[in-house]
Amino acid sequence: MPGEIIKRKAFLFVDDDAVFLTSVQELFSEMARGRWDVFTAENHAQALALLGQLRVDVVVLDIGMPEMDGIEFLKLLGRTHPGQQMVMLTGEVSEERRKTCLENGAALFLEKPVAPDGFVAIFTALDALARAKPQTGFRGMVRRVGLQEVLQLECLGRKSSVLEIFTGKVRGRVFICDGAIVHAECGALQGEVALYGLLALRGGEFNLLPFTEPPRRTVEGHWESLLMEAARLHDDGQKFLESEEAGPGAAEPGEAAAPKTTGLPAGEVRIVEIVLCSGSGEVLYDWKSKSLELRLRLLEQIEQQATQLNSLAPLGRFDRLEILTSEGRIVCQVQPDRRLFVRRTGTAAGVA
Amino acid sequence: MKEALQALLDRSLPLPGVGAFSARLTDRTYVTHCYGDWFAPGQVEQTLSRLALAADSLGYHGIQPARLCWVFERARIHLALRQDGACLALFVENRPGTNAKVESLLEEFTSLPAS
Repeated sequence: MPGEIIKRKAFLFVDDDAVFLTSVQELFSEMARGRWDVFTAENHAQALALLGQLRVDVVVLDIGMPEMDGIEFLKLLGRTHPGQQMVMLTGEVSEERRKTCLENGAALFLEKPVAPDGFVAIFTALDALARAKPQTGFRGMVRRVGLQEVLQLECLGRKSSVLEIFTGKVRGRVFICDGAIVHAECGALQGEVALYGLLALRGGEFNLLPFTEPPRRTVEGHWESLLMEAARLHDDGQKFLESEEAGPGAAEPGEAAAPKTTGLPAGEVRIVEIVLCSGSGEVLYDWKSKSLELRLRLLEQIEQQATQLNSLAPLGRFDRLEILTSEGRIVCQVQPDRRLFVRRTGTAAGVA
Repeated sequence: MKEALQALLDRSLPLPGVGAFSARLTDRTYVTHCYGDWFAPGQVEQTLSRLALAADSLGYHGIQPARLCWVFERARIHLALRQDGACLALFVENRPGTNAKVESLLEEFTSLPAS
């Protein structure tokens, strides 16, 4: 069209195969007919240097590279250049790799072409990706922000989104529809327990994605009540930590000194240990557990004992064991999808 | 203690929702009764024996229980343990309004004078 201003798209190809890079640069520049700027880098260091100087629309990464492979570099770019469009282009295709790359922020996972037709297909896909209309809103990285605050913003704004949360061990999602939290999942956990588990995480990363309908809706209730409950659980833990820092027997101002055995004012109940794991025994949350292995073994043992009891009497599905000791109360909940150990000290009125 | 226990059970039971009870005394004898046909006495005693073993095994985890409650879909089993080794299990239906009296019975059991 005469007079049309063509906005050139910038692509950065990162591959340790210099011959491949040369081919890509020549072929794609020709196919693009002036609409593409093609940059190349043979390793992550060169790529990072280029990304420091240029704004690139799409970074295309090979996987099998020395020093830092493409998957690691993908993860690094996800942190250093949030929002950067990234595509994997590899000769080493496997379903597992595809999943890993897509989960770590790759927009596409493509197989390296072996014939000229293949290059055309790759070009078309990359061109379409670069031309895709960006989502409205700001893009960037928010540091030191609590998940509660993110959820609060989404709910107050009556937004619909999926909050994806990652840590080294945990991966979870919270579904928000028209400002209401409708579903949460974390490993095998679903519902409120998953939501509280995620909100109790001390750190990690999150992505806000466009809303998709969850497999089922497992959370009900107003978002404020849910966040308040999560905050209450957190505060219980925090109070205990403060009392521990003050030393055994320390009392809060205005309170009588507590017996040194518990460090608690008489009658006060405090949660002192929590272990939450999936049905398969994967630890999802651990707070102040002195022997995690022992706790996991205890939960397993209780599950076995409950099964034995059920074979003796028609009791139905097992839910939990509540234990009253001279120091306080312990709850061991064993469900198909989760196992929970909570120990609290202080005077308890009884069990169940 | 057997007489004191019997007296306690006589004046406290039956309670609404309590389907059966079984007490194991220090001499390893049992006092068992089932209300209705929900449970059979042999079944209840065997369950109590398992419950006592399970309670003992908590010691390995550094837990010294005084009372336990196994909560199932249809019923909950309360177990009270005494220092002298005697224990009482109550098999209670899951329905509202049974807890306070059950609690009181279990507390009285643990504070019965030793023989």
